[in-house]
Amino acid sequence: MADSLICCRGLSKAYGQRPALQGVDLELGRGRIVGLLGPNGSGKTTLIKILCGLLRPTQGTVTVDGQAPGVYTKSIVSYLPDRMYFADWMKATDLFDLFADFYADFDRQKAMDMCRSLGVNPADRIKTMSKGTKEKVQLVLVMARKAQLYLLDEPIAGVDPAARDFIMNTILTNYNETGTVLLSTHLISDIERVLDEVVFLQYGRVILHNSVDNIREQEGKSVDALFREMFRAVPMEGGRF
Amino acid sequence: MLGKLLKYDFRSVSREYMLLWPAALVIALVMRFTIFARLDTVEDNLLANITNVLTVFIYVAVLVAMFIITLLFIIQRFYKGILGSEGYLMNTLPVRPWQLVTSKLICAMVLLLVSMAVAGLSVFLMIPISLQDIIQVDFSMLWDRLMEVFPSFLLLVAELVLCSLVGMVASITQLYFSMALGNLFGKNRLIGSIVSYVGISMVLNVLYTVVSMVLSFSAIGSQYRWDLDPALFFHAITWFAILSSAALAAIFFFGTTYILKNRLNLE
Amino acid sequence: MEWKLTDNRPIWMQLSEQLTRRIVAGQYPPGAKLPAVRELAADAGVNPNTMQRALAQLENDGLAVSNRTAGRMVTEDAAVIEAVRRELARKITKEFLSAIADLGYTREDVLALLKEEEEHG
Repeated sequence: MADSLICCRGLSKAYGQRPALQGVDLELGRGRIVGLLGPNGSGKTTLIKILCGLLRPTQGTVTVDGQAPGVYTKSIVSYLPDRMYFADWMKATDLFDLFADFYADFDRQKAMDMCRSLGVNPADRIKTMSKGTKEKVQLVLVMARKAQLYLLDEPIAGVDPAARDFIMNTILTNYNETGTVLLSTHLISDIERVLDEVVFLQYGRVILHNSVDNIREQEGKSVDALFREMFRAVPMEGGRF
Repeated sequence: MLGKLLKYDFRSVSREYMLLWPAALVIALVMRFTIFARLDTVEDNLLANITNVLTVFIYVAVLVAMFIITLLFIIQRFYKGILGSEGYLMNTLPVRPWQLVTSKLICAMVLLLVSMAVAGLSVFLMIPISLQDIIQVDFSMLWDRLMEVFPSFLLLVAELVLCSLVGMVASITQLYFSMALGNLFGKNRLIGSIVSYVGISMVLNVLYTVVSMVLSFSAIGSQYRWDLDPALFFHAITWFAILSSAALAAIFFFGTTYILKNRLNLE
Repeated sequence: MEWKLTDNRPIWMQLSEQLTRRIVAGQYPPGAKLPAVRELAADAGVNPNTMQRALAQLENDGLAVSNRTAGRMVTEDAAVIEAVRRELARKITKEFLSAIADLGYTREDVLALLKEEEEHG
């Protein structure tokens, strides 16, 4: 086991001419819940995609549990994308089969239990499910694994406050205690109290990395308030996309 | 891991084919007892004609549908399944890119081959020739004559089968490689895929023309041309086709896995 | 009792204060077993590490003791609990007095006010 779970050194990624990440240095430990915060287009999704092996960095290095993204890291990373990834023909139970086949840490019983408590019938065809139900199935798949690293891309965007509480509660009660949760969002006030630490991204750079309680102690205000202050001027600057 | 991938690739297409393949065979059987059973008894009423035409039409439609659907599946299972939103699932599984591509390729080959077998079998089922009719033809005479002229005929048949198999692999991997290239085109990935496919085909056409011209010129120039054993000539041509298709398939395959590994850019 | 968390102070401090109140108010009596960290964290909707830190503070204050086999319990030392309770009461009183003094009330006014409140309320 490497000391830090995630280690990024000088990490950069550009899509053609457009930079998405610029020299990110970041180290995250184990057993933490970390918020990846930043306005739209700040590089949150790009960083998460690099960590789960969907994108290759243009420059710099990244390791997860001491290894570059690859087959090993994919086996210990549980990833919730910001979109649906289901094939039409599947039922939730087909997806459970698939996860059980490919991920040694997938707990099928737990997935069934979570479905029951979420009111999802796992025998239903995905095609016939509502958007909210599909999101729940995806959350179940991700949280029923005993992963080292959970990468959750905007897990609470576009859901109502009740569902948001529910999702946060599901994450809190189901994540692996020795694992780390990294979740990206721009809705901080709702989740601030579940976070250990936060990473602020702006224009693809890390501009703040500290624990929530340190921020509150030093600034005398919530992370949400600090976030609003730091990014208030952003729309006015303009032209940097 | 490859076996597990194959399991899901086959499951993703099983519903459609469990319907298509039996349908083709059943319709062929129906035709055997309707149209072809009446061939000798000349019936000339309108209703019978209409049913005949209709049955033939349905049969042809099913066969055409089978191959079009197979082609579409081969494209769609790769485009959507690896480069579309399903790619978020498949590309984060703890498997290597070559395993993903190989699984899709094997699945595609099986679909194609079984579809061809079904088409062949349906023709056999459809036409009511009794076994005796076939045996009446004296094959042994024909065979002896053939062996005399072309002793390595069986070998050539085997080579031709191999040639078409490798050719199929090359065609499928060309589709995959074009889609992988299209993935690099950012917002215009569909157009990018089509342009890539057409582009590769054109380059290959030019290459083939040049190579065959060079070969025929050199053949004319050499005095061996007329002395050459025709059998040897066929073998040589076939092996040239096999090896060139294999080389192309390898380029397409590794090009695809390289892009999936290093240049993947899902929307 | 509901958990109330405000925005401007560290969450663990607020949690430990509210746990302290629960103990001195008798919701968790002396010697009682405290709920597990995860359970408390889920109930308050906070990170388990944060709750852990709040509970560690309780141990520092002598209000809770960790037992390797039985988990975390409220102290059986009633004197400690009483002392903390007393201190809290004094703090509240001080705050009250300072707030009421800002309105221009003297000590005598305050006593009269308290009496009046007791009779009418």
